[in-house]
Amino acid sequence: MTPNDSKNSIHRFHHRLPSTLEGINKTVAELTDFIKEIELKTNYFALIFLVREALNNAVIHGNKMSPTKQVQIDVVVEGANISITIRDEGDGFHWRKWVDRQPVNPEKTSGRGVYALQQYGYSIRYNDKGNILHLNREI
Amino acid sequence: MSQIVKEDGNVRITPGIDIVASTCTDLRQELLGLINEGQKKIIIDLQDTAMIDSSGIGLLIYVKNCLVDAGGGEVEIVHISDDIMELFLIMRLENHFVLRNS
Repeated sequence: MTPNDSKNSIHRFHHRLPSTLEGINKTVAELTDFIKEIELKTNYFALIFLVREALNNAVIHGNKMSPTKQVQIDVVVEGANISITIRDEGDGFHWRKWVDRQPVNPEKTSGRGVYALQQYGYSIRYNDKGNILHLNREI
Repeated sequence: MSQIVKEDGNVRITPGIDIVASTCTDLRQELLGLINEGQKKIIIDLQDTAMIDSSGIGLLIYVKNCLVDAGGGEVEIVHISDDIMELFLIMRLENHFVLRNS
């Protein structure tokens, strides 16, 4: 985490994590502390849920839990806007076929990751390759 | 380890933790153990569960599917927080489980 820049009302959170599930838990705990510290007025459940989903995708599907690869998360709260960027070191994926799909059949045990990211009013954008995710919304 | 109480032909399992990718493996084993015992109605108590991710949702659906494959059964999820209930409804799970906030 980097210090707040209160003069410009910009708050930044930066973290690199190993491709482990424990790494996700630790990062989420630190992010939770960060948003409490800056007294962010937003839906905490939605924010933490979305970050968990994005980190799950990056660690499990992107980096395939490789011990040699890391995930990077950057959160910037600037005025009334929050942006979240998560990048992995994997080969990317064909995100276009997942974006804007309807929810999966309730009997399916998987396939909800990208659908979940599109809930709660955040805009979602991937780079072409599909290994960098941007989430953004007005608070 | 979850708290498990068996009574009146039902079994109630209270994980007491968030149901996320890192906790799903152990919880899956506990739930499969109940199904293998022949339990037909499993009550999953989400008191003290503040977060569930899509891995956790997948696990709940897996349990329901296993019960169906074993000849039929029911999964009732109780003490669901408002946030998790909203998520379940977003995921359109209301017709797949019995969902209660009490």
